[in-house]
Amino acid sequence: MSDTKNDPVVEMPDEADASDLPDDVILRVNHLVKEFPITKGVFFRKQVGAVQAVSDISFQIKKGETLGLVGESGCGKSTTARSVLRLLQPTSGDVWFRMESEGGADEVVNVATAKKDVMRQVRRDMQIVFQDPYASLNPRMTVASIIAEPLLVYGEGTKHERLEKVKELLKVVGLSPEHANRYPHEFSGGQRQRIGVARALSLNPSFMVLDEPVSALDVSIQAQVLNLMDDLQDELGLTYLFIAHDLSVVRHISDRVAVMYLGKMVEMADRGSLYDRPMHPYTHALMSAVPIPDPEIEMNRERILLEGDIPSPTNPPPGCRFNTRCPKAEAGTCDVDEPEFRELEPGHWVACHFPEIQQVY
Amino acid sequence: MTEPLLEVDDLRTYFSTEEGIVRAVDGISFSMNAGERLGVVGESGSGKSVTALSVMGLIEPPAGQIVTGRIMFKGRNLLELDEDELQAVRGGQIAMIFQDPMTALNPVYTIGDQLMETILLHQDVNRAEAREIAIQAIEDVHIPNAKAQMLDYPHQYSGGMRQRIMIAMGLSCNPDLLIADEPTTALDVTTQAQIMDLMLQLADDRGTAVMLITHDLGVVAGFCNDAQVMYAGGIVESGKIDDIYYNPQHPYTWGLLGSMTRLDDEQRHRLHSVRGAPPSVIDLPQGCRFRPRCDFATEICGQVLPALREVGNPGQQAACHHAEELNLHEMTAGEPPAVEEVSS
Repeated sequence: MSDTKNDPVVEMPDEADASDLPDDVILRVNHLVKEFPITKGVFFRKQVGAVQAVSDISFQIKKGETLGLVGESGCGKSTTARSVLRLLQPTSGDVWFRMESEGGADEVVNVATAKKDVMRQVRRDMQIVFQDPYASLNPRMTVASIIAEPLLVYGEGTKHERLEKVKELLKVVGLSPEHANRYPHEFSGGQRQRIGVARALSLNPSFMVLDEPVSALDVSIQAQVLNLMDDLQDELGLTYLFIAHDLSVVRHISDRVAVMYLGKMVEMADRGSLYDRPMHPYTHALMSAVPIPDPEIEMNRERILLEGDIPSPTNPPPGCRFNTRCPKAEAGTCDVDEPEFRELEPGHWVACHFPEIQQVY
Repeated sequence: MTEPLLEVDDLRTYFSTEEGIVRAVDGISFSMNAGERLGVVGESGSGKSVTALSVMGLIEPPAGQIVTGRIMFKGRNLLELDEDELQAVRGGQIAMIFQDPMTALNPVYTIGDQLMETILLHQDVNRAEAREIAIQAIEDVHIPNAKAQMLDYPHQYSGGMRQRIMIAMGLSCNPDLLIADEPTTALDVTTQAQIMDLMLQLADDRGTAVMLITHDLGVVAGFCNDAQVMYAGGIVESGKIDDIYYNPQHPYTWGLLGSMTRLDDEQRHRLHSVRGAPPSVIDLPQGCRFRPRCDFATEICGQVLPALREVGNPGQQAACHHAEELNLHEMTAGEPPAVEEVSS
């Protein structure tokens, strides 16, 4: 595990052709930045500032792996996901993606700068499942036409073949083929999320972004959908980027986990080391805040309570972005120098001036 | 044993809709003692919020109606009070905190005005005294610079700060009972920890009873003494929280615990997951409402609705025909049940 393949921050020359991307890596995000302009005025819109939602983050994901990206609202996790898919145009940085091309040979493309015709191919191979199963399905389309739409867009198969594929996909996600002619409103939240998964699977992607896929669901339904995602990964060899705010869900599904705060990555490690040996004070606070359904543990737990709220990303604090709320912050260091994202243990990356392993439950 | 603070007896709250009658709460009975912290746990549509609204007298006819039942609060049946008497209880002796602190606060009034309104309504004080009480209430929820904050509007606050104001408002009249309906669901987890910590401390200091309505078994574990689990309009299990978590008697409670991902779970095991989805409250199944999703159902479950009865540890109750035979606590959630064990 200590080889360079775990290295998320590999400097690349400007003209890199990504030939050094190891074979087993499907996605490498390099110095990704996404800014949103703040404008003023109605007729003559003037840019008066920018929100850096994602501020220079780097990571990579291996084939068949699940990387969990956690953080609280406004930390930039969804913006990262959307920039990776180029649903948002990254302001700067590279997103190298190993695309499966027709002949079976892989091709590495930079999603951030790829031309339109290349993107069309890339999009077949990377799909997304959205958080809200109520908003992400068109209420006027039948389930069959929702799931078949990607096939139609790419001109796959005849009408009959597409319908067969739809029925097969419905079975894969645990719904009945008879459901094909119904409309989304006839389904519960969990079933709708399954329809969203079936649609994402229709073009046989190799990489899927799951953006809070279970946070709108009830606990018992959440478990069903998590089990489904697990099964699909085993059967189809999928690679997931799993975005969530719930650390216990992320622990369940991920192989590696990255924690974000205010547009920056603060810690990244294997699932085991992150949860058993967290080093960043924000990770400690975040974990200690997560309730555990066990009265004995809960009643005897020391909580690390953070002061105040997350600062505005328009005007992030200087130095370490967490210094305003950090119990360990030292004036003169943390509020001046930005901590480097360092590999303190093999595969365990932390951005903190004073990292320290701490048990939190 | 003194008289309980709140005693709900065979409460049925129905709503008439175009599709039919929604039996949102269908025959529940429970009681709370002074200073007790009760967790009401359930998934969407289980009737937990309607239970709270019924106790608060916030069910509006003709759409919603309390069909039968008694809600005894400090010896009086709340269902028999007229609007004025109810108004005196509501906000004064029973206060409520809602899930979404933005919609619960009025955006065009200052924080101070809204706090003082409640205080002036329920306490015999003049404006200057009400102002003092309001400032104290803001300080009590650990918001610095309380005097200046009185002039702020809700939009100037973050979600966590707004929920603090809601708590300040709820506790400003020293109620006997605080009903908190999903108070932290809309908040981030670190803010949730702050708010739950604050509520626990304030309720403990003042001896306020709290009914915590939530879908999150984790939050209940750290806050409540007792809990009751609701499913499709009924209570399926109730008891001390240790009994509910370590010795569940109802298959739904057991399934819910097995469905939860846990922060301290080292193994990446398969989640138990209760199959299927909750029934429509318009068209409830015959017999036990959990039967269609239950791994242990037998013939009787399809015929007779099981009543809540003492089973398991003292004080623990469950509504399951097979509670005694199942020994759920000996089974790891996640393991498929051995069907032979329960054939009876």
